[in-house]
Amino acid sequence: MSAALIKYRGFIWKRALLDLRVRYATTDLGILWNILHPLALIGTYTFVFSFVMGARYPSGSVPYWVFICSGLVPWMAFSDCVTSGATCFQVSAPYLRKLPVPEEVFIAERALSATINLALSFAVLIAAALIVGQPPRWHWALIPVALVMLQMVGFGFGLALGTITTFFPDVRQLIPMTLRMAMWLAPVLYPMSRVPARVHGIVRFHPGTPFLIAVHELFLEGKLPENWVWWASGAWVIGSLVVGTLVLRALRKEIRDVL
Amino acid sequence: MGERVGAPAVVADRVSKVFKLYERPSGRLVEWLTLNQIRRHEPYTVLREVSLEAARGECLGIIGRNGCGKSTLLRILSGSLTQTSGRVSVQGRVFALIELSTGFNPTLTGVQNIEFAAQMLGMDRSYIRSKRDEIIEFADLGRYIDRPLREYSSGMRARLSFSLFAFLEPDVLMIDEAFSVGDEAFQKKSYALLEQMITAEGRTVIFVSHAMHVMSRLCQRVAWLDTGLVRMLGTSEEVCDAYVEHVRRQAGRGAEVGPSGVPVMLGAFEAPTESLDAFEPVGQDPVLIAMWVTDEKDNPVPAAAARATFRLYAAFHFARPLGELAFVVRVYSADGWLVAHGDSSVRDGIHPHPAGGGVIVCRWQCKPIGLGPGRYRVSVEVRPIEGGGGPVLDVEEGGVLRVEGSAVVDSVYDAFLPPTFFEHPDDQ
Repeated sequence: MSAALIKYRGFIWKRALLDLRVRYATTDLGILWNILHPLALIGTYTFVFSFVMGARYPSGSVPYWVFICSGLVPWMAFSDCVTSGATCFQVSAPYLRKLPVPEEVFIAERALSATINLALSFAVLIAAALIVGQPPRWHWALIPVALVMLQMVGFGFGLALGTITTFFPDVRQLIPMTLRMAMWLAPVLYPMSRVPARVHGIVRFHPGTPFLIAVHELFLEGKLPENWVWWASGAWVIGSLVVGTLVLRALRKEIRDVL
Repeated sequence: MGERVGAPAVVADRVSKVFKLYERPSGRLVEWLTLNQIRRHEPYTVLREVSLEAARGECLGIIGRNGCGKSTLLRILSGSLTQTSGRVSVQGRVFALIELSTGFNPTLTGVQNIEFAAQMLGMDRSYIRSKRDEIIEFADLGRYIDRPLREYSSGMRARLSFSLFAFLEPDVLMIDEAFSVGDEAFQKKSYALLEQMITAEGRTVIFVSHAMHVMSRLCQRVAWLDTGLVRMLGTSEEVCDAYVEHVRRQAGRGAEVGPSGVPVMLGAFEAPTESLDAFEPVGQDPVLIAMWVTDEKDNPVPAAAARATFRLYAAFHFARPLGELAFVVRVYSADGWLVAHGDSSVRDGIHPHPAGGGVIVCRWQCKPIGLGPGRYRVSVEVRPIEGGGGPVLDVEEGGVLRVEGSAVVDSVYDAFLPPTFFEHPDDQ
């Protein structure tokens, strides 16, 4: 499987970059939409949480919108990775029908495209945080590790869901709904410290949680996440990649029969 | 590399393909959960124990009606589909040109697409760069090579994809007829290149076509597929002769039988003498009921005039709805070259979706520079837009089109404008 990804790496990169460019190619604002979409959401959530509900980030000097961004930007990239991975075989059917390119190449291309988008958005976020006076910290160097691991989980989910939706179109309908619910069950828009202790256990088993905690702590508080966060992250990465690979391997022979 | 000379480059050993047709997707889940104790699918056999091989430096032809399993076989041999049983072995680098613009992206230019598609075929960048100029030169697209692909006509796309596939030095090249190489001059150039690849460079070509003339010139041996079985495998002359004879016999007195046993009331082109709406369906569906030629003012004519606009009409009866459909007409010269085509699915074509129980008339208008004087064989195909399945109607010998005149006109692949459709409801 990794051999195919290495062989087609040039192609994966090229398609991922093209995807970002093409997604809004027919619009006047073009690539700006990549930024405007998240900005609109960030604005809405900041308004609701910060002004309407008066939420404050626990450690004093962090503006609430910076906190919202640091959770929402990774979550949206993860969510994009899962959604586009899940529909990937239908979208790439013209290629899959005619070319012997392995299936995972197309999922990887989607995941990479979401990750590039994430890198760009997070870079903008860091710049904005510096402008509003957040002190730079060496911990920021570890943020990419957490983000890349999160996207690897998204890639693993994409492998499994992309395969399954090919056979069961109903699952495709289920994914956006599940992701939307999942967003509210992870510390995306609220800090982990606001979660009541009795449901901590549940929230901790959310696939997004360890990564979001890691990003929040590294980015906003300049502290290294506890060990369990890294262990949980690693477990999700390995678990999702193993399950995704097994699902694809089990059903690979039949995918092109139904496209 | 290091292969025994004469060792077959392509081997298919008792290859079968059975698709599982489920009435509902959940049927598959039921089978999984009961570990296949409950069966919810209908098996649909497309290939039955097909065995054939092609040596290095050989061109193997595959003929047969649409729906006989040719495309499925090509997809299995090229690795984009897995066989249900049997063994496939292909030595070296294999490319399959299954459709026009395989792997192209419409927003990229011709040059960008060369690199893009070649990477998709697994080639690395420096290799592609070294071949790029040859590809561009052979495709001969002039300034269009720097324009986005969506501005290309289908003939231009075909030229680009053929050039790309041929110059990337495949050990085995498979070409499906759906890919028909641009205008006549370009086709001749392409076949010359193929001949050189086969005889001088020892490459293997698997060639699927309806063009018997080309088939017998290019291929040493031909396999005839019929409903998933190899009906005949032998030298190209004997198989092509037998196949042509078979098609003629089936065609009988101007009635041709399609894949689903569709009779067609056709011989030479004649305008229908009775009202189309009076057509009584005879059980087969859909059915081509008439084809005729008119001049620019819709007056039926026995022969089209070269250097003048003419129209080709085809009337189809649909008993039941089949979704959105593409209507394709192909015109072959007397010696078997595909010289022109008109496809309603390309560019901004409209996709009629007959409601059933009515007649649809399709009109292709030929540009005045389209076809030179001569006799042409016309084929018609109707296939669903969605799903990429086989045609619902395929009439290979639709009739003979005569074009008269003394002007010397080279045929143009994109001679036909996108077709126009008219409906003739039954209850009129």
